[in-house]
This record gives sequence, C-alpha cells and structure tokens, in this order.
Amino acid sequence: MNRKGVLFTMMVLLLTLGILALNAAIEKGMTDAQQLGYVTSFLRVSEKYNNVERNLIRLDKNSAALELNQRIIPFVYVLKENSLSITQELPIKSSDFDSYYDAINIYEIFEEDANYSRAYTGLNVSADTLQNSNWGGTSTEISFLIEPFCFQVRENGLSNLLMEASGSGKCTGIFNIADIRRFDANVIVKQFAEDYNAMKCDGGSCDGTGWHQAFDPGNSSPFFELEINDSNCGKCALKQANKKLSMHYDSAQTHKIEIYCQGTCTSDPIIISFSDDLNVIHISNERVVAEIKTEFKKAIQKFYFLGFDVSVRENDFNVLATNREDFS
Amino acid sequence: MKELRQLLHCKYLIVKSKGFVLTVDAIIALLLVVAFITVVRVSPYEPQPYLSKVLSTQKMGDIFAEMDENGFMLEALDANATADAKMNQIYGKLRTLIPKNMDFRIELLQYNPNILNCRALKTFDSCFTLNNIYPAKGGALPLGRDLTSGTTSFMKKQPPGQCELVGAGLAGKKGGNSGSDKLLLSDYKGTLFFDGERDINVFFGVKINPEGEIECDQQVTVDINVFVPPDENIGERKPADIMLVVDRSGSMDEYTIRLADLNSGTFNQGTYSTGWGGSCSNFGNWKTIGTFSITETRDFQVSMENYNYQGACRLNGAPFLRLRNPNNQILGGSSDTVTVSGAQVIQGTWKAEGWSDYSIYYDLVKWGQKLDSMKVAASEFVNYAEWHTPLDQLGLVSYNQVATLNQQLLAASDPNKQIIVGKINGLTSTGNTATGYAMNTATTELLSVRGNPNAMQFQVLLSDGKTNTCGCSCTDPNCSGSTTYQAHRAADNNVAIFTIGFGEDADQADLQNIANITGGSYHYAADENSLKDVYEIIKLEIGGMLVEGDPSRVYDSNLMIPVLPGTRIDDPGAGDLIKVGDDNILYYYIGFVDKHHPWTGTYKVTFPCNENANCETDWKIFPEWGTYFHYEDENGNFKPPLLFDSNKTVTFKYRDLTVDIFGGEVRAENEIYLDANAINRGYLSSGATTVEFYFDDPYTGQFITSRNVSAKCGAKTPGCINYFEVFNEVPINDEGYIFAIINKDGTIKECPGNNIAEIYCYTNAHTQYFILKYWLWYK
Repeated sequence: MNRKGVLFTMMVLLLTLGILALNAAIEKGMTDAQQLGYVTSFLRVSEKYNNVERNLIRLDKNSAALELNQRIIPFVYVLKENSLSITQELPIKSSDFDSYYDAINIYEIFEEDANYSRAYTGLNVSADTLQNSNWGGTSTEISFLIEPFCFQVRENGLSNLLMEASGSGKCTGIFNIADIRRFDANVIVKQFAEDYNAMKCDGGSCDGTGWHQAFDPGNSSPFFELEINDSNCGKCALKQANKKLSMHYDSAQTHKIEIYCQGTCTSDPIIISFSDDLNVIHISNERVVAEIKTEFKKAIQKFYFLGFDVSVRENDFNVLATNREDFS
Repeated sequence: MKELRQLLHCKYLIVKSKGFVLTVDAIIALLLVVAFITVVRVSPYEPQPYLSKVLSTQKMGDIFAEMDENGFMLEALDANATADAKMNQIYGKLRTLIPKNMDFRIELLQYNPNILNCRALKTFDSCFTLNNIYPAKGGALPLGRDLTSGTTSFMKKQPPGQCELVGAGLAGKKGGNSGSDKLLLSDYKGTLFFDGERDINVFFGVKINPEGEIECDQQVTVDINVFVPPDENIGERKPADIMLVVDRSGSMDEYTIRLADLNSGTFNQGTYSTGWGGSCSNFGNWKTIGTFSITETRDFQVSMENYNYQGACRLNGAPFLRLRNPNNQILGGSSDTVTVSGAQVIQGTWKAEGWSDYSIYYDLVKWGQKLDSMKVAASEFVNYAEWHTPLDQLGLVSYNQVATLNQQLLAASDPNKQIIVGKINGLTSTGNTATGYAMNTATTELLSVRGNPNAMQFQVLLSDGKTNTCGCSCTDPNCSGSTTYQAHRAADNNVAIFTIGFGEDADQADLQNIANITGGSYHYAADENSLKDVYEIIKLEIGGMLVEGDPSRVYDSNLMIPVLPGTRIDDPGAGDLIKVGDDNILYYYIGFVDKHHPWTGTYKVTFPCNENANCETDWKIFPEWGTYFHYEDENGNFKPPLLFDSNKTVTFKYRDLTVDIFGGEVRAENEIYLDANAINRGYLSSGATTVEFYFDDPYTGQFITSRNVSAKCGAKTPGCINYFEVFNEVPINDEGYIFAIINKDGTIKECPGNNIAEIYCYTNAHTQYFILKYWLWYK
C-alpha cells in the first residue's frame, strides 16, 4: 500500500472512530439528534457536489476519467505533474464546440430538476452555465483553469487558442509568469494543398540567432519553442532552418510569429504570439493542428472547467456547497 | 472521507445554524478532535440509528466516486450486455465494497436527451425521455428498519459523431492496373543475358522524336541504329561526289514542325455581344497568355491548342488567339491559330493574347514550315567539315513536278559550300512531287564530265510526300519517271542513294525501296532536330562506305528491347513483340552489320496517361535500360551480348487527378459535412471534370452529390497555382461509408490511382444521463 493509501486508511479510520465516538457521545447524552443531522446533511451535500464536479467540472489526469472527459471537450489534453498539453485543430470544428455547449446545458437541466433526478433527496441543486446561440445565449468562448497558477486555457471562438492569466474570481492566487518554465508549440500543416512559404518574426526575419536559442535550465526567463511540421504539405516552402524557433524571452515584451504565404497563393496566416501568455490564431477553411504544452515550475493541483456554476443546498439544516463566486 | 477532502476544493461550504458559521476545516477538525478524544472511552462499535445514517451516507458517497473515477461505471454502462446483466455487474461490485453486515438495494434509470427540444424549451420534460428502467437489484426494503437512501447521477459521455478517414488517397480504381507484371531488371540482367567484353567495335545510336520532354499519350518515334565503324588502321578514304536532292513541293509549306512550346495554362476571360441568331461579336477582355522572342526571319505560326471548349461562341470559331508584334500591332484574332510570314516577321518580343468565355486549358505552340527545317538541316550537311577538297564534290537538285539542277557538282571548298547553301535557302515550295525526275537529274549530273571517276557517288534524297508526277505510272518499274526505275539506274551506275522521309506523309515504303535497291539506307525524321540527326547519320554511313579494307562485321545479330508496364508499342517497325518468360520484349532480327551495312530500326511508342505505371517516374529512357545486342562472329560463335549503351533520357510528364477527403464533421443525425480536395498532382493540365460522392461503393453505391472541378494546371509545373480545388462542407444526408471519386467516367486521361477517397462517418449516440437510487440498511 502506498503512502496515499495509508493516509487515506488512517483518515477513514480516524473519522470512523470519531463518528463512533460521536455516536457514543450521543448515546451518553452529550448532544441531541440535531447535531448528527448536521453531519448527515453535510455529507449528503458534499457527495452531491462532488458528483456534479466529477461529472462535468473537473478534468482529471486519471486515465479513465480523462477518457471520459475527452469525449465531450473540444480538445485533447495530457495532464502531468508539472505540465499541461493541449492538442487542438484550428479552426475548431463547430460541431465539437456546439456539442460541448449542448452537454453542459443539458446537464444543467438534468441536475436542476427536482422531480426526477433529485426525487426524494431533499437537496436543491442550482446551476448556471454558458449558453451559445443554440441555447439563446451569446457565449463564444470556453475556459479551463489551471490551479494553483490562476492560468487558463481559453478557446476564444473557433479560431483562437490561448494560454493566459485568468481573471476568474475562482483563482486561489494570482498569476505569476515566474511559475512557467516554458511554452512548447507545434504547428502541424496537414493539408497537401497548403502553400505556406514565408515567415515573419516580430515583423522581420526569423534568421537571427535570437530566434534559435537552446534551452538553458539556468536561465530564469521563460522559454518558448515552436516547431512546424509541414511534411504533408505539397507546396509549402518554408525555410528549413526556421521550422524550429526557440528563445528565452522577456515576458514584458510581446513576440509574434507569422506563418503565411507570400505571392499568389492561398494559405491563410497562422499567427502565434507570446509574452506572459501564448496565443495561436488561424482563421481559415483549412485546419491545422496546434499542440501547446505549458510546463510549470510547480505541480498542477487542479484543472477544471470555468463555465459551470453550481450550488447544492440542504434546506433542513441549511447546508450549502457551491463554487459560485457570489454565493449568499 | 474522500468526499470531505474533495469538498475542500469547492469554493465555499457553509453550515449555518443559530447564527453560528463553521468552515469546512473547522468541521473536519472538530470531527477529528472529538473522535480522537472520545475514542479512548467509547465502548466497542455498535451501530445505532443516527450513526448508521452517517456511516451509510459517507460510505456510499465514497463508493460511487471511486466507481465513477476508475472507469467502472463507464465500462458497465458501455458494455454490450442486457440491462439485467449490467445491473448484476454494478450490484456485484457494490457488494464487494459495502460491509457484509449491511444490505442494500439499487435502481437505475436511464434518460436520453432530445437536443433540439432541449435547446428550444429547456425543461426536463422537453429534454429527456425515460429511456430505460433497469431491473432493481438487492433485497426488498425492510419494514420498520432505519434506511439510508440517496441518489447519484452519472453521465455516459459520448463524443459528437465522427468521421474517420479510411485509407483516403490510397484507394485505387477498381479493376485498374495493378502493375504486378512489372519487369525486374535485376532479374532480367545476368540470367537471360549477360554483358560481356566486346571484341569488335559496335556502336549504338538512338534518336527520338520529340526530344527534350514528352507527355503521356504522346507518340514517340524512336530511331535506333547499330553501326560498326571502319577499322582505325584503314588509310585514306575514297573521294565522294554527293548530290543533295530536296523536295520543294507545295506540302513543304505546311506548318507542321513543332519549334517551341511557348506556354500553357488555363484561363476563362472574354466578353462579347450577342447578335441576331446568337452569333457573337465585339470580342473583348483578351487575356495575355504568353510572350516569346523572335530572333530569326523565318515564317512561323502560333497555335493555341485547347480542348473541351464549351463556350457560347463555338459557332464563331472560339476560342481565339491573336498576336501583338514588337510594334504592338495585332495579327490574327479570328481563330486559334495565327500565321506570321514574310514582312510580318519582325524580330523582338511578341505577345500572345487569348480569348475564351469558357475555362480552357491551352498549349501555346510555335510551329515552323517543313521547307525551312529542310533548309536548316541540309545546310548543316553541306557544311560538314568531312566534305572537303580535294576529295569531295557537292551538288544540289530540287524538285516538285519538275526537277531542277540548282547547282552542278562543285569542289567541296568552303566558298563553294556557301554557294550551295545560298541555293538551298533560295528554294520556295509549290506544286507536285516528281521524285523520279529528281533522281534522274542527280544521277545524270554524277555521271557527267563533272563527276569524279575515282569517287564513290551518292545521292541524299529528302521527300515529304508521295511521288505523283512521273510521266507514266509511277508504280511501274519500267516507267522511266518512277523511283524504282531511277533507283535501278543509279544502282547500275554504282550510285548509292540515302533516303529521308520527312514528316508523316512521306512515302516511307518507296523511300525504303530506293535505299534497298541502291545500297543506301532509309531514315525517317519527324521534325527539325531529328532531320539534323538523320543527315549526320548519313554522313557517318557515307564515311564508312568510303573506307576500304575493313573486315569488321557481326553476324546473325538481333536486338531485344524490354517493354515495361505502361508502355504501348504502337508500331514495332520491323520488330516483333515477343514474350521471354514473363517479360515483354520488342525483338529485332538484324542479320549482319558492317561498315557498309549499318542497321537502323524505328518503333513508335506511347505511354498512356491512364496507366498507373506511367505515374511512377518523371523521365523515360529510350531504348529502355536493359536493351541488349546479340551477335555471332564470322565463325558462327555466339559472342557475349552487348548492352545497348546509347540511351536518350527525356523528361516525362503525366497528368494525375486525385481526390482527398481531408475532413468530416457530424453535426447532427443525417447532417454530415465533408471537406474534399481535388488535386492535379502531375505536370499536365487537365480539363474540367467532377468529383462525385457515393455511399458504400463509388461504382455501384447510391449517388449522393457531385461537385464540378474546373480545368487545372499540374502541381509539378513551375508557376502553377491553380492545381487544386477545395470543396468545403459538402452536405451528406446520412451516415456510413462515403466515397469520393474524381474523373469517374475517365474522360480525362490521367493516372487512375488515388482517384477514390473514402471516409466513414457515423452519428454517435448522444450522451446519456443516469440516476442510480440506493437504499442501505444494517442487516
């Protein structure tokens, strides 16, 4: 049994013993049934809240849970101790986006219902989630928070993927760029008919040594690396040496890389900018694949969807569990 | 406990009672401290009603969380099993996790959503249908016992429908060429034949027409020759008297000599007015389709070759070509061909402009007259340094319906050569063809007092047509104007005649006959370059005949040329197509070859555009690598075969339309969208075609829809941009295997591989929602 298991067993034992003791206390007239009612309510609220979080909000790294989650979210992710990788086609398929909005809105209706899904539970579930135009709303973006960094993955419409500081009040702290060790971005040009043939780095050439630095573990500045894979592209003519760019950089400055076609050609630009965030934009009918890995200097504690607010309340004892910022 | 820990992650937990607020931490701490303090003085465990509720609630929360997160519920609900079996599986798992002294009962309800209703009405009843009530498991609820009950929910998450590419871009045309009979040269060489040391000098030569580059479906004429040169130790050669005999009949005026490929591409640009009866006029908005430079003074013609024009002005002869000369003056414009002659020929940069109101692919080609090509090549022959004084003499006869001695025999000095070249360049073409008369005039001149009695005497005769003037029956060998009669007259006087058939209309049989009778040889030339080559070969052949005492000769020889897959021999000439094992061979029996009897052979070959084997290389070799020459020596001994080591390699251009399904999206049931791309991956442009979509099978399946593909240039052609066409969001109204096929009817001759793409699209079940109810009690 690993340490976590031992700890868990000890905690269960301790709590069980505590509850036994509590029961004994009750037996001995130390308190009345009302006290235990609180505990029961607490546990039921807790169980329901976790049930909701498990079903929709939390994105886990456990393989089974990860597989489940990835069935409905628009991207593929790999969550490790210190890093998060996101693989996303850009532009995102609108069906993937719509499907996610469907899932969260239907789930909201399902959980809020008092007659069927919560019959006889005595719990009141109240939820709010993002609504796109299919649901009568105006939402066009979804975000996922990485804690404890107050850093988020944001899919801003179908053509824009961002890794950025979060402005959510759900953050447990504030974002600090010093927590990020490096960004790695891969752009895969899948289509034969693309014809990317030019690149600009900060509006100029990408040839300079400043764009071809090796990672230095001793350098405290964040590191950025971009790799372009155009092996399946029939007419791409990007300079081989510039298909891989890397640099330690000052996060106070914004750097911008443009991959485009110059002359009479058709491919739409891919724009990658980075400072204390990483931003990939590709507005086109042709999809490319963006793989973004953010490596932190500390362990990731939690990765979860920011667009589903839920409250679980037990009315008899007035016990409430919520992730709302404006609870009352 | 796990739930308590997880609850810590939620933003707030509040217990309000009598104005007292506790935090989560406080609650847990309180529980733990109370537990710790009291545990030492509590009697052994004995479940009581209140305690059992707490224990049960906590226990079930932990159990369901674990079953959900470790994938058990997913597997149980996903399993291809009956509802009863699924419930047994869930019950069995719970039984292992719930203490033995407790009993329980579970019920499971499955709700399926109706997404469209749900979006519209947003109520539970509008969203969900109770799809399945699974059989309850566990004991009956006991009466009078304290029960712990609750519910937990599960989502059986499902992704949106998917489209999975199935070997896209790899599927080949059904029944197409497999290429399985590919000739393996590595096997061929060293087993059937071997390459040995030659003990006699045998030289091989090859000429092809056209040269430089060829296209699929373009016929190539291959002239091959085997030549045994005179021994190097032979002394001074004999002198030669040579009469050039050239055709200046009217057909020599034809613009059939391909001088240059100027440009190619596609365009669709042109405005017009429609008059009475639908005729077109006022043609405007001409498109510049090429520029070219003129540095010579010879006449030329430019044509805009095109096909598949289906515009409105067909009856007016559209599409049109016109030229702008260096002075910006316009020539032509009423057809797709413009002829520039005489004073119109201005040196400088010319511009070609096209008009078409329909997308066409065009080849802009510059053509020359046969007469001019003859002048160029014959002049080179005259100027060969091998003809020199004091040994040799040259003269000139030209002919149409009459023969003219343009130049009597002159010593082959440089000034005299220029005189003869001047006479050649002064020839004009008109009238009929009297080949026999010309042979007679040339022979007469050779036999005249100007002839050198010590010289060997030759005629080098060029004709582009059939003799039609001879004063009697031209096929009658007794007719003095016939070529046969004159050939015998020449042979009787030891005059050898080398003949050249120039262009497709040449009477090759007659010219071959003349050569055979007189001991000369016949050669075919299709264009200016090959004509130059032919004259050079004749020079070599005459040179060989001028040398005496050379014993070099090979006997009973033959030539074997491999015929690779994708090769179609249109005309084997004097050869035969045979099989050697599994290999196709073009076989020539040659017989003996010596300095006086070089061998030449001609075959015509085409590489069909619709053969996959012709899409594998960007070049072709003539004759094919692995061609061997077999022979015996004078004693009848077989000698090691010789590799035909003279080859012409030319760029080969093919046309290759492909279709690629690169995306598929399932947005709802019966609402699938595909992204497809039609690409012309080869060199050659293609005309308009279609991409068609079918369910299940591209040939026998149900037709779904089609998209028009406009004319495309080839991706491998430099400067080509319009080589592909993307079709986004092609709507498909059902799920299943979907095929896209381009150029299904084969109208466009192109490589049939990769003409089919396949994708499998399916609409997934929607995410399902489950409620699991449970009751728990102590036994």
